[in-house]
Amino acid sequence: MNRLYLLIFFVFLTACSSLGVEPWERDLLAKDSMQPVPNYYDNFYDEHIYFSKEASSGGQGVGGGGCGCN
Amino acid sequence: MQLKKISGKISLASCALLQVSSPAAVAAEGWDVDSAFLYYAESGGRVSAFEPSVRAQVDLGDDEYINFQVVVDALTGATPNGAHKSTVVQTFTEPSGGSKSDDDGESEGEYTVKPGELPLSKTFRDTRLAVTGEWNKPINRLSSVLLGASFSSEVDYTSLGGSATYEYNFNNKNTTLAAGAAVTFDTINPIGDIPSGLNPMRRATSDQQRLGNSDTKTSTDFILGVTQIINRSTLVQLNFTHGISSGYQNDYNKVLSVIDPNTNEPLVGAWLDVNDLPYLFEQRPDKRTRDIVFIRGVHHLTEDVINLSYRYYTDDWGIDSHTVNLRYRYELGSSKYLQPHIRYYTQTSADFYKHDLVQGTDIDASGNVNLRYASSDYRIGAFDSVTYGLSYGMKLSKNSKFSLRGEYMQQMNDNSKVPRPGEATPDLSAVILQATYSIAW
Repeated sequence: MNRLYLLIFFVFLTACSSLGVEPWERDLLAKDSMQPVPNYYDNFYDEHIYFSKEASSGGQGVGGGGCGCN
Repeated sequence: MQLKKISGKISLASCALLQVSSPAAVAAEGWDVDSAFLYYAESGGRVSAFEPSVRAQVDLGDDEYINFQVVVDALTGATPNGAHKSTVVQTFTEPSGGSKSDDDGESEGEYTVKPGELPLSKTFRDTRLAVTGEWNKPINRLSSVLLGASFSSEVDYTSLGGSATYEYNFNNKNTTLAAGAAVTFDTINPIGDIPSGLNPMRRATSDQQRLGNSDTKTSTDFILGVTQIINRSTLVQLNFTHGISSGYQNDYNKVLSVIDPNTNEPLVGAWLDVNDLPYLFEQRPDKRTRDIVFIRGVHHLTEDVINLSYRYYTDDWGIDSHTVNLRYRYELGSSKYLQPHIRYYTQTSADFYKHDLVQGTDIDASGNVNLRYASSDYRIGAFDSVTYGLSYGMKLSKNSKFSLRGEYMQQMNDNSKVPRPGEATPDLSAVILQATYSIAW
């Protein structure tokens, strides 16, 4: 299963090489609203709540610490 | 100065996408401070939480920054203890046990649950303090390292963690590759020491037969991710995470009811040994391995922005889950916005999830348990969950902004395998309210 994930990952990566924008085309990408996590605390609290109420967690990043709430 | 600001934001758009902790407010050299307050309340008088937090980041120039966050988590309420409803009064021992009697009809160190009511733990209060810090250090024009440390402490749990994520930009900075690792060392100090898994809960007046006063858990996670700018208005992020947790993973407050096959009711009163109550403490495996695929797309329409993510999670406890998160930021003009949010989540149950234990089948006449692991914690059972929310945000000045968020969460348990009517695990709903204020200077 992990090999399949790695394969998907590298296919994705290869396909990436033909995509993108020039430096002067980044006006929209620079907006706060275009950040993957536009509001830090919305994401932070959601991660904390669902970590304590559901059996799965993670995926967005690593680190952040443990909690006895689960 | 303005160019510097835009450069910082571009860098954020193309680089630091993998961290949950990517900064909310980005500015040139200087300070950013975010503060927030969360109120969380479950229906039926179950858990409620107040959670204020402050996060300060100092930008040191050239994309280098350091940040610190402090969170206080004040919890109160009660949670299901894992046992069933019954047609008679049920008696449970508090985790701390006890040996005296009091005059309210209950023995000290014990609590009772009325017929027909879902057994909840005795109301608890707990306060958790968590501190985290991060340092992002550029190595050269194309790569950087983000180092993180975390510490948290609550009455029965302490956690210490560290993480490192390396990021590399290429393809004219349109593609970012990231690789990271984190390790967390947790120490569990159960109130009343560690109960013996798959052994009976004992009367408060008897020897609790505990296994020592603390245990540990170590979690290690590895992440590999790529973020790709597709065009002027779209970016996509793909992460793979592999994680392993080893050590004590039981919830020491949780028990399972033992069912009498003749009456189809939870056993009542003493069971086998006169000091044993008809509930066994749960026991989970001491190792858990998980794999996660996470994909997110962010797309700019004429003014509005769509942020859509999907997560697939699978682990060797038998839990598979799917999560979809959709936020639509609707620009109102004058730097104000409304943002509806919907989240859908569904999970299968752990292989060792048991609604109850049946005497004669799961437990033989001598009291020996024919299972290695069992838990009736509804959180590792099968359920679906839907959350609806709405945020309103506004810029207060050139350097400050404010937002309010309200959400309603519903968890709907899968009761299709519940063997007897009237014992379905009730659904849970919760309200989430949040205020956030950010300032930069």
